[in-house]
Amino acid sequence: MDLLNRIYCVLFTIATVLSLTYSIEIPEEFQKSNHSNNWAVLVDTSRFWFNYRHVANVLSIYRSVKRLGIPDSQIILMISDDMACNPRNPRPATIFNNAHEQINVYGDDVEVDYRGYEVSVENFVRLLTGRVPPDTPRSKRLLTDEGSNILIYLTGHGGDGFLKFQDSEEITSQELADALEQMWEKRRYNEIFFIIDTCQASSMYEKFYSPNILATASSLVGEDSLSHHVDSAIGVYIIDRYTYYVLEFLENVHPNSKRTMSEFLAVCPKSACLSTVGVRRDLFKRDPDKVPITDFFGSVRPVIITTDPIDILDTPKRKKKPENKTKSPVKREYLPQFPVHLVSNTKTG
Amino acid sequence: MGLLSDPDVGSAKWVRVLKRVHGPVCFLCYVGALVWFVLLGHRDFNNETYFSENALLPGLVTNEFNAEQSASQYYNELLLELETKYEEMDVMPVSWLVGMMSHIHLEVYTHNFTLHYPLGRGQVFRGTNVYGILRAPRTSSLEALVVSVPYRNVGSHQKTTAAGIALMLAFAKFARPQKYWAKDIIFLVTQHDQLGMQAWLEAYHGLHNENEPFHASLGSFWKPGTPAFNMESFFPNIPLRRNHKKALNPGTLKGRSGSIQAAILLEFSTPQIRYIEVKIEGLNGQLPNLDLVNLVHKLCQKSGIHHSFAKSYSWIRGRDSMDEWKNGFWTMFEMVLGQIDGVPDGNHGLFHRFGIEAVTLEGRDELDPGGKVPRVNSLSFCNFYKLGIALESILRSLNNLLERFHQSYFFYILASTHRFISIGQYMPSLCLLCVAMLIRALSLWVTTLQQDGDYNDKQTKKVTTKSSKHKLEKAKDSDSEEPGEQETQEVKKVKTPEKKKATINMSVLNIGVNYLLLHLIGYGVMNTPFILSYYGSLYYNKPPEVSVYFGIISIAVLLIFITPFLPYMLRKGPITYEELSLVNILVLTELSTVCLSVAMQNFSLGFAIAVIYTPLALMTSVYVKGSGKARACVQLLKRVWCVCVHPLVVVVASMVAYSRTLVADDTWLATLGRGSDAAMQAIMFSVADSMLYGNWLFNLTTSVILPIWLIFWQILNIKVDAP
Repeated sequence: MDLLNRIYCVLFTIATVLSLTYSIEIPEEFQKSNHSNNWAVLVDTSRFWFNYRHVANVLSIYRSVKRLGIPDSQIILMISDDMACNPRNPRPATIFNNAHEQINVYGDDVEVDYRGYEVSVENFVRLLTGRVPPDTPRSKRLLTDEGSNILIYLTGHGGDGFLKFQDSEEITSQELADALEQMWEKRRYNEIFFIIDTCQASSMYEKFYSPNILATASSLVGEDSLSHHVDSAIGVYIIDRYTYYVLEFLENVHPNSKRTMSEFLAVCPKSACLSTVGVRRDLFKRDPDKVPITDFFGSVRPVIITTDPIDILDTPKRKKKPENKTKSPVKREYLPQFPVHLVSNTKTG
Repeated sequence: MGLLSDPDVGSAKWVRVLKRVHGPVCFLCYVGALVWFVLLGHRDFNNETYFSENALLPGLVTNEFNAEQSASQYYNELLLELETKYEEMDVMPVSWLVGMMSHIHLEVYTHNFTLHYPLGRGQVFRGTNVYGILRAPRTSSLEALVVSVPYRNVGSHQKTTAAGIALMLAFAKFARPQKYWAKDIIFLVTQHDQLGMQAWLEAYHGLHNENEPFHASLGSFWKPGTPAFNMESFFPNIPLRRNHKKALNPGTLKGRSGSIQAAILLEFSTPQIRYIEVKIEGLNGQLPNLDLVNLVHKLCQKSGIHHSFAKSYSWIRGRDSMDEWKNGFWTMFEMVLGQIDGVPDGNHGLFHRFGIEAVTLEGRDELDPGGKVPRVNSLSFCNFYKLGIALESILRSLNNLLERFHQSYFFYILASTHRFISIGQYMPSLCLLCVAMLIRALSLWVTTLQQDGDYNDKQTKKVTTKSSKHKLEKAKDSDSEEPGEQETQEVKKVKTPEKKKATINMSVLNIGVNYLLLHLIGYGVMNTPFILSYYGSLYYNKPPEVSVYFGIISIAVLLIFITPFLPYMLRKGPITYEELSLVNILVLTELSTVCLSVAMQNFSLGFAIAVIYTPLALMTSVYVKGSGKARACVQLLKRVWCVCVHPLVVVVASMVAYSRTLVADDTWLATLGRGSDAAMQAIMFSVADSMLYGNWLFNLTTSVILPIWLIFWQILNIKVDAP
């Protein structure tokens, strides 16, 4: 019985995988991506109650990428302040991203990886470059490889050439560019999609020089990025314009959607955003028109399709290595600190 | 200074130019300063107000205030309570307030304080404050906001504040169950107006242990018990400071909250008001942060309440730019006038010194004194609902604060409810006045120097009087074989007679002693009210204000007669021209320094002093014997003008003018009498304010302005021989 069950199981899995691959048939015009996994780094850098909207921004994006299939283990969420538990919040333990207050984006299944004062420039750069202390838990590491597509989303207060972290420090565009270059050299990514929603946001990606990065920003240098609307029940600006329109777009994207990245890049025209959305595509090798949005927002599960029958009964036998067993461990000892043995050798010899 | 002490300074071109043009330049500076000040009212010279603090989020939140029914209920109950039980008494309905606050479930405490009146025979006043604390439900009590109403009983000359108390209680009732408070709110009812407020603030900040007057202990390194100069050890019989006992004993508070971030004070006698006057001026002219003022104006507007500030009315818009300029100027002028005396125009003024931003909202209707308010009858009446909405939105906005107010201006003048003039814009007008005085001082300095130079030339038997020729000669000398030696000889020649002359003509010691003595006299006058009121009540049985007033008048008259002869008492020979010039230079420098430094805290006071005393300072000159009849006549006129700007005369004159504006259709004699009475009260108030609250005005006037005036008076009255 047991055996039979197993076989059915396997067969069923193969059948579903096959059917899935046929349903997500990639259209002809799409270029094939050679990434093998998807990661997301979502960062809110600003604290204080009046920056409620930044937390709402980042949680909305978090919710979207999670819905599109990136698992929590592959999302690094950094939130600088705890708006849900702020004593000023008239709706304790919730965060909304819309005045209608239909979706609590701070629901039960939110995993914040870096929170409060952990959100610092140092931690952010360490996270990106993988130079974390050895005792860092897996949830706080960006365990990417050369096959990873990474979505980086930053929101907060920015200026010309820097992004403010908390209320005390800032990361400059050069530092960020260098961190990404380190990632490239350490083969930590395949492609990066970089989104930033701050004032003068485009200044942050101008210094990038590493390949395979597609970057977009909510405003050009010299422009402010504005908020969308006020929730007068909570008494704060609830979401930023750019993120609002991004969300509106992402809500209509599903895991096997055929939307392209160029659609995403044109999501917020100047009439809606009031600021000009900046895009940088010279580092990106593929044509955004032919890149499906799910290359960054969705998730690729490593699935190997095989047509060969799998012989489950035949358990592979391990080769025995008798010579290893018989071999006694090599006795190791310290060398004398002063090379006396050499001296004596020369004497006798 | 090398430049200024150079003996050849007379030859420099700028010196000659300065000596020729300093008169007109000083005059131009003076006029320029006044013109600048007048221009500040114009749109192009001031700015629109704006919020600097991001955290405030003003008016973003929906108003939920719904306790207008309970407000009117509290109002009626309170009026009934006052009528039935407290009609004739000067007592606060403490039990009623405690009962109401406990009913709302606030933490209620009472606070007792005592005042030993420092003047006269030492009466004792007692009072009680009542306060209730609303604890922020989801955070620790580290920060607090204050909503306060000064209690005024029915019989007092001021309007009652019954509606304010009712509104505050209703708001407390509404706010108590809300869960979004991040700061505690303290609801406070104080008795005896500013006295109760001061006592409560001192007690809240733990200032009840020290024996010194409050202003001596705040922010100084002076610890009680430090050995100090004690006047009483010299005059054991005279109660100079009542054994250094603090006049106001603030007692202790039984319950506290966190550090107070902001305070809103309400003065509403009835809910049927036409508009709200936002009062901001604090003790010694200190102002709340501009952000708070903007916040209040903006949220009044948003709640549909008409608001005003010092004759700038939100419902009046200027017809054209000229009209706006006029209105802006009068608002500015009104604010400056109000700031000069340094007396707060509401209880909010006492908060500022503790680093707490506070404003008073005063409800007004068309019957209020203080001039006719245009088109006030066309305004609709306010009601508890609107007032409650305004209060709610102000407090919710303050609740959002993360730090103390610090982003916006602390030094400003308002030209209307929504326009302001920053310190950078108004300071130049004062600086011009001080520059005029300093130019005058500089020109006097170079004149004395050059006269020295002339004197030297005569001594060294050089025919040439012009230093330029003297220089030429020097150049010729240096062409000879041993230039170095020649030059040193030359220098020696010049220097020795100068030294000799200094010993003859200039005695810095004599001048210094005179200078110091006059300032000590000023310091003495500052301390006289204690003695005057004590002996006044002891021997003549007069109330302290009468004895202080007439005492100070007699001291002033006495000083006018004595001081011109003071320098002669201290020395043997006659006073010289150079000495008197040096005194003149010193006093000009002192006056300009005083004006600038006072203006750093209280611009209005510094500016007023500068405007009044700059003409005197500029026209004062040393009178040389035998200068002719015309000069003598001019000197006499100068003396008359000097008497006219004696500090006491200025006070009486301004009080007469003030009472004239209040009651315009009166005979001049009656106005004079009324003004004199007002001056008596004013002096008494300033003395009491200085002792109870730490108001500077009396101390500054007696210990700084009076000595400066006396020095000018000396200079004008002493005749010296020609140099």
